[in-house]
Parts: sequence; structure tokens; C-alpha cells
Amino acid sequence: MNAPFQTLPARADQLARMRELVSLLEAGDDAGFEARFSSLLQSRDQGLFVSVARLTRDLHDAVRGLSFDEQLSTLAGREIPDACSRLDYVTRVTEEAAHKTLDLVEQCQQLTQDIVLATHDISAACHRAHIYAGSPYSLSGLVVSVDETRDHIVNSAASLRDRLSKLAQAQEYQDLAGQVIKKVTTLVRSVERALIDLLRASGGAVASRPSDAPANHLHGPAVAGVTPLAVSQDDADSLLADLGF
Amino acid sequence: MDKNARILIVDDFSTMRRIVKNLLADLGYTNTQEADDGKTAWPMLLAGGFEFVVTDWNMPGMTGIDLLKAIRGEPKLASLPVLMVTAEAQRDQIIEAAKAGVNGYIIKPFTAVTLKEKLDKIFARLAEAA
Repeated sequence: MNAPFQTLPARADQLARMRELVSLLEAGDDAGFEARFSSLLQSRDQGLFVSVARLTRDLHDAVRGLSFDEQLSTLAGREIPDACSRLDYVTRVTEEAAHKTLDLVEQCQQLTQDIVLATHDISAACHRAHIYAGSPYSLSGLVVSVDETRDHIVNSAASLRDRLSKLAQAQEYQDLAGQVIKKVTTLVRSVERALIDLLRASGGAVASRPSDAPANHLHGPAVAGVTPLAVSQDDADSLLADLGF
Repeated sequence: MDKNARILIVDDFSTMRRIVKNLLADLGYTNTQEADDGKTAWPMLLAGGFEFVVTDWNMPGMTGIDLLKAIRGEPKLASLPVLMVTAEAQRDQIIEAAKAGVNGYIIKPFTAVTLKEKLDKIFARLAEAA
């Protein structure tokens, strides 16, 4: 190992400098004193800088020697921001698809309401048919009314079918989002592997499981096989019942 | 509860707000308003007029549990019923919500039947207490 602060002045040199400073002060040479004093401080700082520079170079060489620097800088500089953008994309497409689906559901709900109203018209027409049976004039009016209602039902059914097809199509986001998520999870796993390799290479012990989450960390949606402590709605209900709810 | 009761839906995901709004409408509750986190919800609640709150837990700004605690700590809102609808499914969290004074707890994903059950139960208890 290199001796620390080799550029610092040796003791005899320091003593000579201090004596020089005292004699300058005694002679009343303020400008000379300031100049010498600054030079003394600079030589001290320079020693520190040299040591820091040496440490930095050693660290850089060590990381290069482990051949992780390129891999890690690629991950940190390019792939992780890229992964975040991909996840933003997933959030966006899932949100758009959910809204599209909900729009279509609301339209379908209105269409089913229209169909129900149309059947009421048929019932009313049938009722009138009983009352006015035998009158050709009234019957022809009823036929027109039933025809209109039938057309209305056929149109509503066609609209309903069209929206249901769009509803099915709107699920395409799952494929796109799923692919993106797979890409990101692959990247996260490679980061994890690189970090574990780095820890092992530097002699650090690798815990079998990552450390516990911070105290204020929320768990989010429970994922089967990943969130072992999550409870079901039934468990939650019985827990709340135990607590007097 | 009166079908015209004003209900505040608090969730940071607009899709989930819309889903809860639709489910409530199916049950006959159409007088709903939305807020995207506790911070947005709080002045709306303070302004008054709401009879029920459906809130998520995990939201930026102000979480649902903090909103619940704020409601219970504010004399004019303390008795406002709060239903938590959240993906947080840890035992400790359910206990924390219960201690903070939640009236019902639904774990996402959930069904329309679960929502109806919890609402019925909350309103039955409120009627009993009245």
C-alpha cells in the first residue's frame, strides 16, 4: 500500500517553514507572511487531493477488473430508464383499454334497456289486438306498430353485437402489456443477478431473501405465490368479525 | 341509506373510480362524486354534504388510511361511514384500518356481490345504531 500523504512536507521542512513565517511576522512583512502561509496550506490540500485521486483510480480499476462496469452502466444508464418507459406504456394502454371497455359496457346497458322497452311495445300491441279484434283498420295499425318494434329490436341486437365484438377486441391490450411486462421482468432479473455477482465478488454475504421492506412500504395487489401473507376477502371478513365489526 | 345519498369515491386510478361508480349506479346510488387521492377528497368532505365515502388505501399525496384518520379526527365528519376498497391484503393492514375506525373493508379484485353485501351490512349497522 502507498504511504499516505507523501507530498506533505517532512517535519524538518515544516519547522523551517514555521520559523520563516514567524520571522516574516516579526519583520512586519504581512504580504510575505500571507503568501508563505497560503503556500503551506496549498501543499497540505494537494496531498489530500492526490490521495483521493489515487483511491478513485484504485476503485475504478477494481470495478473494471470485475468487468461489471460496462454491464452495470448499460443497465443503469439505458435499460432501466427504458424499462420505466415500458411500464408507463403498460399503465397507459391498460387505462385506455379499461375506459374503452367501460364505454362499450355503458352503451350495451342502454341497448338492453331499449330492447326491454321494445318488448313493452309488443305487449301493448298484443293487448290492443285483443281489444280491437275484428276491426281491419285497427289491425293494420297494429301490424305497422309491431313491424316498427321488430325493426327496433333487430337494430338494437345488431348494435349490441357490434359493441360486444369491440369489447372482445379491446382485450388486445393484455397481449401487448403482457409482452412488455415480460421484457421488464427479464431485465429486473438480470440486474438482480449482476448485483448478486458483484456482492459475491467483493466478498459480501448474499442473504437468501432481500431485506424487509421499509416500514411505510405498502404491499399492493397480492400476487399468488409471491405474497404469502395476503388474506382473502373471507379471511378479512372473519378477522373484522373477531374485532367486533 | 337513501338512494340519493351523496357518495364520494376516492381512488388514484380513474378506471377503478369509474368501475365503483358503475357498480354503485347498478345498486341505485347515482349521486356520486370522485376524488383522485385523500388530498383532493379532504376539502370536498370539509365542504360538507357527503353521506358515504368509498376509498382506496394506496394513493399518492394522501393515502386512504390517512384520510380515514383525518375523518375520524374531525368532529363534523367523525361519524361519516367509510368503506375501504383496496388491494392491500395484509392482516396487519386490516387491523390498522379497523383500529382507525373503518366501517367496511373490501379487497381488490372484488365483485358486485361483495360490494352490495358490505354496503347492506354497513347500512344495517348504522340503522341499528341510530
